[in-house]
Amino acid sequence: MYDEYLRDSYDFAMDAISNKNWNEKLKQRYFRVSIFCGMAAIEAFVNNIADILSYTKMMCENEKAFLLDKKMILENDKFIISEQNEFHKIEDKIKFLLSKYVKDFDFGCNRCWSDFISLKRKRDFLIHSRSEEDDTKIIDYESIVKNGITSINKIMDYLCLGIKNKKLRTQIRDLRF
Amino acid sequence: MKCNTKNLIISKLLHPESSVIKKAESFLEEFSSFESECSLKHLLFYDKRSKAYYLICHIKGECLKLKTDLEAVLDPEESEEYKLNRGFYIDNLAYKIMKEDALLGRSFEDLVIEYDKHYRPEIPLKVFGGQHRIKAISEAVKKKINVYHGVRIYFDLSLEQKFNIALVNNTSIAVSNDLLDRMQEELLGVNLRNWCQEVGLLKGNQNFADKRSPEGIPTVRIARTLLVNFFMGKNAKEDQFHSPIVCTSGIGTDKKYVKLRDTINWKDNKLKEMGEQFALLHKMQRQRISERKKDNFLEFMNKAIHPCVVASWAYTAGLFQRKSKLKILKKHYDLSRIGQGDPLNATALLKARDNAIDPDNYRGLGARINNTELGRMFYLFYLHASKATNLGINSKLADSAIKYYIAQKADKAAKKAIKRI
Repeated sequence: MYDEYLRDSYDFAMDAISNKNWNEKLKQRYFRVSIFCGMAAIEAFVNNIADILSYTKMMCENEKAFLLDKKMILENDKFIISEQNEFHKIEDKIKFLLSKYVKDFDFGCNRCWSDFISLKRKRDFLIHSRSEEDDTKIIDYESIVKNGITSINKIMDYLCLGIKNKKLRTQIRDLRF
Repeated sequence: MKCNTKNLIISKLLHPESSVIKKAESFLEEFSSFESECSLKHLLFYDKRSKAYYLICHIKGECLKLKTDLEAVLDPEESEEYKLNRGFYIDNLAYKIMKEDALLGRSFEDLVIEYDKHYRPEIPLKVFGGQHRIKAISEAVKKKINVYHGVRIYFDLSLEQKFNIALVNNTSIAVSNDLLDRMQEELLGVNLRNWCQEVGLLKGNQNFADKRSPEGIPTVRIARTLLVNFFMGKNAKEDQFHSPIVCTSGIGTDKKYVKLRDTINWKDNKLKEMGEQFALLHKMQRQRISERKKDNFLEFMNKAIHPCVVASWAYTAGLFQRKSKLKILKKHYDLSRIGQGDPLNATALLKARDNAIDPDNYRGLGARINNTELGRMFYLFYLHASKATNLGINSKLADSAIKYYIAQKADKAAKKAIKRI
């Protein structure tokens, strides 16, 4: 599903950018949908990776529980992964995966990390918004979305290479600004 | 009836131009052939199709090494640097065998050459057919192997004649690798064919297919792959990284198979059971697909004998041969006994993919031969037999197999990295 969400995100953003005669409200609407789809794409992708890594023997149980959003419980003298959910922040899970599987990923210098965080903040702002109006300027939306969608795409690519030893397929990699 | 020159015999029915005779004489004076050493004259032949004259003689390898031009061109005046023939394929197995043969003193025949001093006169034997053989001969000469080789020497060729001769020497009817395998297997003996007939993969008196068969008759490569992987699985530990293989096909028999063949007990009951179960799977797959009105493609019908499926299935069967795993083995074999639908669920396999990395033209599980596909397919059978609650393949299982394979590969890479510390 994550590939389709990413395409949705890209297409909505492209529509908002390329339709010059659209009014501000309409553009904002498309950018908002693009942000939601982009974040859904990376969440679904990370869940997929978590599923894969749950089969490995090289990852410890608490790491698996963390990625799978499950709670560790004590059963007799052993900690096991329970069926109870315990949700973790997407940025924490991505940070963990990048640190573990992408050699030399520099969170301070690599622009795609800061771009992703900006996109994520914007999504959080939109979801938990208390204001009546969306006063984000179109130029700001465009910048956040363009950089954010590209950063999601690049993070997926890094993780594919690090975990699957293969680059993200071209048709997805092309969905960058 | 014959017109004789110093070294040539020309039939009276032939009327070669004087330039042809002159060049032929010049060639025979310049080069010593086996025939001339035996004080024999050479016959001049005529090719009606190309209207070209030639003679046949035998020349020592050393002379061919020194005097042949492997960069023969069509029109030396227009394009002296542009070789007419294809480039060399020295990494090719056929060439490697040719080279080994030359070193053992193989006498090659029918090397097609024009005697032409118009360009690069120091190497007047322009090669239009047999450049790989001459390269192999030259390699052998370096090792002091210097034997006679049969050559067909043309004279005074026009541009069209050169083209025609080069063309006919570069045209070959390809022999399928499956036919080569079958021929090699005949040479090795009848055990494999008999075994396949006994377990039901072949009918009585039926031979292996000499190419991919729409009727679902297995090729030698399929039968070899089945055996090799069964024994590979049998010798593997369950917790290791598993990678089935597909036997090589074509010139040169698969080395793993050759090594294994001598050790096989063809009467072994477990081996027989595996063969019978595979034959049943193939039969049921064909039957269920042919009963369908929709999606009854040939590829679906013969899915069981796709090399990738054969290898993975047989490896799994081998892996669960131990007494403690017989329940799992039974489930693996019971795949062909599912109540409805085709046992391999070809439609589910076709749709299965890793959305992140598999390209748009990916044809699903068990459709290509490479390590990834073999690994994914193996884990599909492995998970089905050992972990799945229900009998039968479905999309969820196929998806899990893809993920499981990546996880196992990542584990293998991690272990390798740890070892390096």
